[in-house]
Amino acid sequence: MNKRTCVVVGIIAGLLTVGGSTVQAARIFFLPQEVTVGRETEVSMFLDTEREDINAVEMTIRFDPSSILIRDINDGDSALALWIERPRFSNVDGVVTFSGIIPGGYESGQARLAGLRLVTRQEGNVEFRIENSRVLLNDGLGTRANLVPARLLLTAAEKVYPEVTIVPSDDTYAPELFQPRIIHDPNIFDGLYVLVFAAQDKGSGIDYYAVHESRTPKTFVSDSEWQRAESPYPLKDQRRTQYVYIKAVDKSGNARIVAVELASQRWWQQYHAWSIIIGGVLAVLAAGLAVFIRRLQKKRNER
Amino acid sequence: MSDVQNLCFRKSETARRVTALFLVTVLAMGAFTGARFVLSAAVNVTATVQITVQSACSDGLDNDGDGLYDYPNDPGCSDPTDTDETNIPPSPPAGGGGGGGGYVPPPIIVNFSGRAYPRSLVTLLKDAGVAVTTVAGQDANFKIQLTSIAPGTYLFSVYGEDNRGNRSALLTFPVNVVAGTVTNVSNIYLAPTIAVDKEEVKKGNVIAVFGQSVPLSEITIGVNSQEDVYVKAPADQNGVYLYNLDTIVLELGQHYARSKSTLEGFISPFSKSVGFKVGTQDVYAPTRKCRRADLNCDGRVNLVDFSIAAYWYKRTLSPAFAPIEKNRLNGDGKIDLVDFSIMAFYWTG
Repeated sequence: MNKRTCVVVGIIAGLLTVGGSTVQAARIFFLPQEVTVGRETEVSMFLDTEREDINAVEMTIRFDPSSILIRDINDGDSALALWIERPRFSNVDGVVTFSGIIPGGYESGQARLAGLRLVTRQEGNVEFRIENSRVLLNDGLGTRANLVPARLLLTAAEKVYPEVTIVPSDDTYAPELFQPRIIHDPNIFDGLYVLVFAAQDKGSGIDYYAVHESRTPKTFVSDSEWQRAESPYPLKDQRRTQYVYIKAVDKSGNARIVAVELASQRWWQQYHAWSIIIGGVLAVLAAGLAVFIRRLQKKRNER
Repeated sequence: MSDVQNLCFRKSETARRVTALFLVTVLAMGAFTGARFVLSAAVNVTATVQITVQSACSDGLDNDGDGLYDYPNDPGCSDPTDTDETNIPPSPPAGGGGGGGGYVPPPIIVNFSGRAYPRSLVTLLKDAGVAVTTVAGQDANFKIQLTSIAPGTYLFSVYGEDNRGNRSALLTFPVNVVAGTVTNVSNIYLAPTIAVDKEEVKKGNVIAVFGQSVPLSEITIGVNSQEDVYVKAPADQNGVYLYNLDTIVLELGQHYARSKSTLEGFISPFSKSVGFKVGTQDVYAPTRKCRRADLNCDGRVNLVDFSIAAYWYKRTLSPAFAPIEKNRLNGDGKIDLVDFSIMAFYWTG
């Protein structure tokens, strides 16, 4: 084989190698890829795992704010079951960021990551650049998987058929039942009692969480008593004598309220115990008073 | 020595088939419009999981509680593919007013069934949280029913815990749950558990590879080497298998073993990989107090560990937490996406 043949064979082999690796790389894409100019549309961002078993995603996506306005990000129905950083966006800096994990991994094809609710300002192709992003394999080592492409295109047209537009949300389901935990570990908030939680919402996505700590058990908590919170949340009551309620609210306003079981209390710290004691004392006093009045009447009658 | 997944193995054909099956299922379900849906593709492949969906009007259940069920018995069913049995109320007479009842969403039922290990604890995770735990029968079969969930795409994972407390790899599959349907996820076949008795074995000596699977199944154990070694061992009536591997055929250095189970034409996915070294001495495997990614050392990897890691995300580690990160995560002195990926791999919920 002469030198020229070697070079040609080398180039072909190199191209085949690159081609092969590209085929097996995880792929990011939008759906739909065409939107109507000026109309708010939810564009879902999908990860095609290309038969790789993926369990962690970290994305930074840059866009031109003069071409696109992002109104909101819907993180409902995402394959990322736990967010390390929930989706955030800035129309000033032109950036969308998020990171999360898929416990157990995902290799079943196309996984929705998040939905960008956006409005395009002009016709033509709008470019999103994927920077400092990575997807990791579910191999116990966090091995980096190939990720393509480096940029995504969204086509904005005067009219797109069929029209995909944002309709008023018909999400009538509350967030999924979730299991908050109160933990006490020296490696988080210096060993304070901390509330940890994560809820899922398959419709419009979680909007916010709120916490209420109460000395008494409640069946209703007024709006003013809730305090917005994020996990992990250090409790105000570090003696663990109060009832803790947490509310997950989705973007359609549906709420799921969950109570955390109270830690073991001394008897004098229990609301019910004092109710019984006070009730008992009042009953005894009432009975004594009744006996006293009866005796008094009896004496009067005897006179 | 850690029991990390071995990258030297190729993905099994079964895993690829399962993946393809899931893909077909998910795509098909995406287009599902209420018609009775049976995944016929599952008939011709050796699938680990089969997913079928039945509409409310063909599931044999009285979904709206009116005493009638399914088409044509229930007047709320327009045809067998209808996903809602709820009877449509007659229109109020003109000019009159009338109160209306509240909307009751059609029920959703998801059934899971498959094989684990005899009398083993089987855990079903829904989007990373423990949804249900159950105990498999002596024949290793288990059944789980899930209700009261909203429509949407869920990531369900199943794992088993054997008689020695070793856990199987998570078997994860996405399921698109549709209102008014019964979804059956069947033929789940959990991977065997696997362990070895030594973390280092003198070349030429024997290392015991053992674990648990379905009773009387055939276990294939693979060990990576210059030429991969594959051996077979039978599981006994309790599903326990043991193979004493002669290491004379292995070169010096680090190796990984993993296993899969076969019974009646069904093949499980491969187990987690367990590592050992072929060297110059025998060193028995220590009993680990805290497993990988178990940051609070409670025997589980779940939201608590995730929250502890999230607390240190992008922060300088404290002197107390740094050794924990070193021993149970990737040991690079910081918490980043790689540590969370390790945690996701060892997740127990």
